[in-house]
Amino acid sequence: MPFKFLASAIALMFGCSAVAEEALFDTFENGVISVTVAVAGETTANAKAAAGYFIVTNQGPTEDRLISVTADFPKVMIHATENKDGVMAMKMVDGVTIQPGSSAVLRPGATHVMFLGLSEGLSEGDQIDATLTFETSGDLPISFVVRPIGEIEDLINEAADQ
Amino acid sequence: MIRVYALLALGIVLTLSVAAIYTRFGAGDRFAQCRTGIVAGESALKAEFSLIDQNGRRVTEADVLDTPALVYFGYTFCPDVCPIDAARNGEATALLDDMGKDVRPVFITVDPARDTAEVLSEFTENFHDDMVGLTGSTEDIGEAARNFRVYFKAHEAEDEYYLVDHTAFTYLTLPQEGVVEFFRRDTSPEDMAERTACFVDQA
Repeated sequence: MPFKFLASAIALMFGCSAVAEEALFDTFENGVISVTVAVAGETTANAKAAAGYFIVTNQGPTEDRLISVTADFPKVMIHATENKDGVMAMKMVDGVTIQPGSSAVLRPGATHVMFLGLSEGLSEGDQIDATLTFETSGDLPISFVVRPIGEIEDLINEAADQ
Repeated sequence: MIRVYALLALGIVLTLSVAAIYTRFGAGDRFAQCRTGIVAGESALKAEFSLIDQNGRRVTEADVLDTPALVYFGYTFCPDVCPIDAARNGEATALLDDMGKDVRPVFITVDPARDTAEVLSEFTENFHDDMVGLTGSTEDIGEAARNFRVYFKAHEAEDEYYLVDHTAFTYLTLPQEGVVEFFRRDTSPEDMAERTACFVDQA
């Protein structure tokens, strides 16, 4: 398709970093749901908690809901951070609804996955295998890539703004 | 009669507000050009504490805030916003280093039960060599937070993975001046460095 080619050529010419960054991330799909930019924050060596983020898109005709995340840690939860006049309050959420044809973005300072009880810290490049369970479409195995904490907000936001 | 009292009360409030604004933004404010993040009553913040640093030494503001400092309250167990904010403050400090401005990033825990000096030492060295981590008794942390008007509240602990809600502003302090500015969560490292440099230059 000429237009697509042109767009790629322009992106290449200007070294569009968002496009290049996104290409570094795998997309995980189960035919209905797709997940991309699955990242977790790097931690200190003895950290006991880490956070994971991703962009989840519902390509199906009906609403679906992420109801749980499992991974090889003592406890994995979905949390939402709320900013109330500068006070960051975290609470557990029982799911994330994704409308048909749209995406939900798990990003810093908002909804995120909490990995608790780490036996060792996470370093850049580490991978965390996890399974996302959706109410309608079932399980989707994914893999989080560990990135420096300072980069995560930009990675997610750039990909989400596309 | 009630209406008269109400009007009188309103009058007093307005007079006090104007007086407060005049004091704050009047000719006497040499930082006027630097200010963007004013919050009512900000000047009432007291940059005072007696806590334990990441090396296990008892320190007060006289030891830690003797250079311009970026002070943040958080906890190391918090995986979402705290490390991101600490990384941002470390990055802003590095940018200020490049500009030749000596600023100290400070991380005060709101979770002293889990954040020992040792835990803080490992956490802070991740973000900037000069970052100071502070912990202390529940009472001493409570007092430091009250002085900075920082709110924090630990969730009921069902297990060792409890969370703590807390104010996530970063405060700029200057020696002799105390808290002169605060930064919200969405402030970029570049913006923080630039605004901090303005205050440091005017001090």
